[in-house]
Amino acid sequence: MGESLTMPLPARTTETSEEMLAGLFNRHQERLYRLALRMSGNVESARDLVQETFLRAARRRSLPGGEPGREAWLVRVLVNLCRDRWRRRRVRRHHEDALPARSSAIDPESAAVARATVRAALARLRPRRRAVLVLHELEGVPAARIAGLLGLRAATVRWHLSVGRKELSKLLLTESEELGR
Amino acid sequence: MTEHRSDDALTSLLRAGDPAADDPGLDSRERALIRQRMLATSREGRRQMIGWLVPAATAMALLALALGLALRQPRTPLYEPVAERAPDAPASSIGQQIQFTTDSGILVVWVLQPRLSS
Repeated sequence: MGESLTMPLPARTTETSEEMLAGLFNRHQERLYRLALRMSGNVESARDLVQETFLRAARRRSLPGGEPGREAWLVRVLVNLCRDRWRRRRVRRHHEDALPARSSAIDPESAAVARATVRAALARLRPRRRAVLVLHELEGVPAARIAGLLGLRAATVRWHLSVGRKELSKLLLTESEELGR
Repeated sequence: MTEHRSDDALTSLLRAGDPAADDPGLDSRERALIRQRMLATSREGRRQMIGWLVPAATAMALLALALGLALRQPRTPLYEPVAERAPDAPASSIGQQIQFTTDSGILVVWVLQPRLSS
């Protein structure tokens, strides 16, 4: 990945215009959708998350200047939206205690089972940790760049990666056992 | 070493089960819809801002005008000079006065004698 390891300092803000928003949408919608799908594990949620992220950008009078700043802003908004949903869902799950992804377990295809397992395990991680793991493990983004995107310190990102990997290993084991039953 | 191997295994497992692996992404209709909503929201926001800015700018202009007019009014002294100059005295014999009233209503008059100031 040819991404730079250091994030430039946040530039001044730029006033939003229709052209700027349209350009931003064209450049980032695909990447944000994939991130949203990996974070939420659900196509409809991913679509909603992407839409809400861009609507939030449209409601602002200005956005950070420079492409890296705007990209980081979009990623952060998306991760925060995921976190809000996760909190709401956690309250609901407290009563239901059921993962929506389990319905895929009846799919005989092993790839589908693997996806269901990963989706269910990822869904149990805290959103910020999930974002760090998804960005690093699935999108191949280096830790320093993740720090810039999420507004965290590089050491915090490394800590999330280390703890998240252990947590995810346990969760994957649990999920695969539950799906195997 | 073992940790590295287990990290690699985890990465492989995650990639094998990547929820976005086979997903084609947003289709052109969905993209167009989101884009359209985003631009409509932006336009609406701009319209609201203009709707708010026009009355605010008008109010500011009126306020500035009123302030300007008030400052242009000639200032009259609080009281007439307490001492009149004698008809044959030179114009500068009384000098200037500073008059002000204290909070308790006492009128204070300072008469500046031109001959003492030199």
